[in-house]
Amino acid sequence: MSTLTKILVVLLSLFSIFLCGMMVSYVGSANNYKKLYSEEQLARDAAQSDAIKKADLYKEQVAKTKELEDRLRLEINALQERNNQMAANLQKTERLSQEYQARADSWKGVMTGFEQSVATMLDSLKLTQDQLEKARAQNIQDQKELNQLTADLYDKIVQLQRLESERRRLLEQKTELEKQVTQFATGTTLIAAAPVTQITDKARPAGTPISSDIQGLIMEIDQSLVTLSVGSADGVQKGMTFHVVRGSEFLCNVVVTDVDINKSAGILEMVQQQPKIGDTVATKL
Amino acid sequence: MAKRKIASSSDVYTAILALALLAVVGTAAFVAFKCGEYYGWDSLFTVVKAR
Repeated sequence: MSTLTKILVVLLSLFSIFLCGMMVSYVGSANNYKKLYSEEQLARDAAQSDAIKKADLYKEQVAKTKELEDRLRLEINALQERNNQMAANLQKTERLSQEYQARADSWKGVMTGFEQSVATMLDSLKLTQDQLEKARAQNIQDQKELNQLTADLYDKIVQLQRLESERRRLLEQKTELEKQVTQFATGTTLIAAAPVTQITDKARPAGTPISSDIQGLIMEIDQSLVTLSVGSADGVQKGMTFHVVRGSEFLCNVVVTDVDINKSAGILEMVQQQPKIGDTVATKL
Repeated sequence: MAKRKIASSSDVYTAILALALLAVVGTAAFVAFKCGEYYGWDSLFTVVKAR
């Protein structure tokens, strides 16, 4: 084998090994484009199906949105109409409110006048009640004096009647004596006639009239004992029951246990409220 | 005919050639395997049409 053949064998072998190494490294590091293509195709198909679904969904959403828009438009129209109606009602209500406010103001003025009138009338009523109480007390006092005067008058009448009968009897005796003197002077004897006026019974003082309604005042109070301003001269008797009132309010009862001419005493019963000096007592409510 | 004497240095070059042949065959097998794996075994002898 010649030298040139040897050199060619060695160089050919070296280049073959070198080229094979390059080929192996290139093929080993090359990409699998088929696989990449398949993956990309799958991704594209998925994207297309997704796009179709999205488009369907978009159409559906558009339809829903349109339906919702129509419905909302109808509602807006209804609300607008209702708003207009309520605005009209509001104006009407405001007008009525102003009218009622004016009426209320006028009534307020009237009520203020009424309140002032009522206050004035209450004051007058209170004053009148005071005067009435005073007049009632004065009336009771006058009644008591009247009863006393009536009793005195009855006594005087009885005395006057008694004196009148005595005077008549004396006049008859005088007449009889004059007749006897005349007969004695003429010498005839007459039988003495009995006086025409016979003293059958002496007049007695009339009893004190018993008043059907006796009123008085409380003069003293000592625990359950009270002293009344009316007595036997007013017709008060032992055991009578008086009602104690203050105005129109019932306070208690008083049962008379001791009677004097112008006053009486008793004990309290059925006490609702404690009486005070000056409270009115009466046998009838 | 007289027998020709072969020099011992020829065995070294034969070994080098065998090594080179082995490298070429191995490379061809490797490339064929990769091509079949990636693009199918039909692509070894035919051209796959693009879809």
